Amino acid sequence: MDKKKRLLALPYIAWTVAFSIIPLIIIFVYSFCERTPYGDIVFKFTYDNYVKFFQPIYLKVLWRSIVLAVASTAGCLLIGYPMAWIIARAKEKARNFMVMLFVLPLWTNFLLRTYAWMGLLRENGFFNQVLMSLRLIDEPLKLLYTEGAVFVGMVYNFLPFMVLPIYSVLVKMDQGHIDAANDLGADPRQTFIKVVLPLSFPGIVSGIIMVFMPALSTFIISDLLGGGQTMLLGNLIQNQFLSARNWQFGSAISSVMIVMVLIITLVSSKYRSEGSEMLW
Amino acid sequence: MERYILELKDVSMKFEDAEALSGINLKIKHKEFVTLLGPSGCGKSTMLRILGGFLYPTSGKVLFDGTDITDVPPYQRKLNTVFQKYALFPHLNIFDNIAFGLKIKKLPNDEIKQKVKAMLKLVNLEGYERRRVQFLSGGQQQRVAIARALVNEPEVLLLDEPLGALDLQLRKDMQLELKRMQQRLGITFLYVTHDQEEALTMSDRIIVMKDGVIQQDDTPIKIYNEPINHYVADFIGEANMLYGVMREDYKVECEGLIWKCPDKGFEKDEFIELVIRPEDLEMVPEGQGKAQGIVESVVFKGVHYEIVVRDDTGYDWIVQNTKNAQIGSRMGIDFSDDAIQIMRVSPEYRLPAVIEQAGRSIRGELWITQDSEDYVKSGSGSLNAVPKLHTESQGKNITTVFSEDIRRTWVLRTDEYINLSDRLVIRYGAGADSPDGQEVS
Repeated sequence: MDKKKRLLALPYIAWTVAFSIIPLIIIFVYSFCERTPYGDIVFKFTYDNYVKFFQPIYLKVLWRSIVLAVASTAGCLLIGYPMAWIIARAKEKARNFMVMLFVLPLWTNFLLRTYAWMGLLRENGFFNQVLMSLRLIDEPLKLLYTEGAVFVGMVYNFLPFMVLPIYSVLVKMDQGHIDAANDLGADPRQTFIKVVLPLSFPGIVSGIIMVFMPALSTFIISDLLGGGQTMLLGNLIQNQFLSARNWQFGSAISSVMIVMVLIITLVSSKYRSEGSEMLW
Repeated sequence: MERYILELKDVSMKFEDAEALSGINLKIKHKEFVTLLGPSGCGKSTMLRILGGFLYPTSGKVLFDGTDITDVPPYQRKLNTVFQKYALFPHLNIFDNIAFGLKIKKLPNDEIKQKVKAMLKLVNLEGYERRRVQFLSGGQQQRVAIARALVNEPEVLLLDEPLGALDLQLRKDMQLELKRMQQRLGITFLYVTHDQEEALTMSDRIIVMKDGVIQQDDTPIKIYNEPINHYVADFIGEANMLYGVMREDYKVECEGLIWKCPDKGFEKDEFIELVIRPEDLEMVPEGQGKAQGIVESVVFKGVHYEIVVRDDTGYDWIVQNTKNAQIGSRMGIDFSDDAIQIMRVSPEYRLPAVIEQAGRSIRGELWITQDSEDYVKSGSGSLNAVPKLHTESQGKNITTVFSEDIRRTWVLRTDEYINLSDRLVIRYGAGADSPDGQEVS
């Protein structure tokens, strides 16, 4: 019996070893290697790649990445929570339909959706045309290739990752708890703050992680909507591997990011179990 | 004029097509312990939810201390609920769960602490303040739920099957504890349960419900001893129920005999149903007593034996007795005149029937006595039967028949006389009263 169970675990083990553990080890090892002037890897131990990263120019990139990731996570939460609430409170038939409508765009390619935003935001794009025809502005605004565009693109693309975990918590929430709060004298606002919000905290934490992680490491959105003006961690890593041929430095930045992600995951998983108490 | 703390006036509730409550009128006095009793789906929980403000009735009014509160939301009502699944807040510890209502009212911290402490003492959970809800047993959670409601000092406490999830011993302890608490605190309790024993133990008044309609509203003793109809008699405890004819005040004819009874006020020769509780029956030697029969089965129940005696008409009497009996032996059954309770017949237990006897087809009604619900639900069918007894009621022929197929006695009410010497075939239920001679599928 036990042997059979282990046999079933084989695909999982093979997968994680091949596609998670080995690549992680390679990146980690590379990040401590020296580099020849032509970009070849020399297996000689050095801290230089990490020291290089802690220069103001790169720390600025790190800071910008964090600010944008935090902002877009906050944006997703502010839009996503009410959405999740509305969907979860709808009648079952309407609910399934709403979830489907919401998930539908996810089935089109991520790149395509981001290109579509380029079309909407460009100088003679949808938003500028509407604003012009309403005579609110005289000449087109510069919307595309700004940090704002990157922000909008991130919120748009990552919103489902915020809505779905919150929705799944809210839809399972026992109506009995809400009734009990009402029964004990809590009006709808108090019920929300003291019962619904704390009880949906695990969903909020999951949503925050699910949005914050990809937002921190994205490079496509910042590339397409930021037009190379907004350099984020993801872009920096991409450059090091593809243009600068400095895999060692790219690996070092990646390692820093992986450690950050790990810390956030550990901290939040601690809050996820106790988190429900935090808001009370 | 007497003051009532809670009143329902003509309250009806419809869900989509189904009517959950119809025309409920109910008055509850101060400090009364009232129980809503009925099987699941009878509308008792719906009624409680309307009182709590969680459901808005389709029509009718809810009055609290004389004021109309139909439109008042639950959080403004001066009553509290103990929910079926307790609905304790999992993100709060015991103290904060109990303090929830007081914190909403923004009472000073000292007062909250003091009141919660007193409540914990009342429900025997001192020292549990910091525990988490998930780590409590069912009985403890239950007591926290009660404390959380009572700490608000409501004038009325609504309890929705609060003991349903507990095991038997704990349930019995909690029943007594709840009753004591209610008497000590002087609060009106409105209690919902499907457990008739629980209702009898705790209540000042029981309201028996069925299909959204109040069947009987009385004290536990009267509900038990003087059930108003077949349904109530059947739901509360075990009961022997037979059809009979009320010959005059205090005199009923049943099983071909005239029995004295304490009931009056029925029409002359009215077709009635009578109920006798199994513990009121006495086993006597053969030839004595009011009925004669043969012992069919004996089951040991702990305090007593439950003995089934089939009498000569085929009726199965349930007898509860501390004495044992021999299966297959013959004996007499006796009971005092007071043991009889006369009830008006309930039309739900009547099926249209066509009786075929010696080439004749007779239309009439079939009245079901024992284990009747199954036959009412199954709708229609046909039975071979032997006529056993005959009598008359207000111009109708009443014939007791015994069916070997199902080993039950039923009663036929017909215009025509049914010959006692010939066997019968009874076709009953939907389609039975189709034109004569047609096959009933």
